[in-house]
Amino acid sequence: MPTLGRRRHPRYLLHQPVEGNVRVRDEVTIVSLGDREIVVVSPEACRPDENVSLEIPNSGRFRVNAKVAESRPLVAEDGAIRHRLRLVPSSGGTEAAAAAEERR
Amino acid sequence: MNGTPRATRRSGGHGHVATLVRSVPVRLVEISRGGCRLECPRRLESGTNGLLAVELAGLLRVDDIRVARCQQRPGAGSVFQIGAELLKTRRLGRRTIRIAVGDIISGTRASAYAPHPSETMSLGDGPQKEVNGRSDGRAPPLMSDRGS
Repeated sequence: MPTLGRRRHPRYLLHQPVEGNVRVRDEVTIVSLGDREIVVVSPEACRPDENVSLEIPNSGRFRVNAKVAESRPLVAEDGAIRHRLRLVPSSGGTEAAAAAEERR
Repeated sequence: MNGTPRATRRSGGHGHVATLVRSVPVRLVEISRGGCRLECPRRLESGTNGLLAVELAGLLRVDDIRVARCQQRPGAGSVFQIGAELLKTRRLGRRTIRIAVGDIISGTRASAYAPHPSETMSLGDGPQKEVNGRSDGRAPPLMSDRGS
């Protein structure tokens, strides 16, 4: 296991941990895009009720805010495990999804 | 980034590739000039890239990170310890975590930033507290090393 580049610097422990967040981006495939529901296939699972946003590059990096309604594993054609996510657009997201569909 | 094969694209209105953005809450527990250790309620795979945002010295600081390792903390339920590398993909500006870390470690934070009442950054008893010093090991430090 390569370890080059690791632990080159002294480390400092924070007396009080600092809260924050990490924004992670995953490339997903859109299965269906509707006003009330968006279904995508993702390499990572999501938790129900998790808030996510979907950026659709075809329409100028158009963004749809949504909430995860369901996350189910599935096996892709190449044998890899993927996750089918059913997303419900949040307020304002419905119009956004419709607009994105129209732009196609 | 973990990618869905583009070969699964279909023609027509569906099957397009998009980007799903998730926000994962974390706690920054350890810093160095090259990386940091985070605690997270879920697993993040090694190699995952993301944008870390934390408030340090009253400013929201951001930097790109790459997860180097992730392991569940024993006996802590669903808490994962993440070793992350601070990537030098952004211009070194005032609102980067690298600048904040550099200031804290070099002890110039007081002169560089006005004290903030909600400031939560502290390095323990002294102005600086080195945890483990130089180490080539891969395992995260034990909880007994935390000193709190």
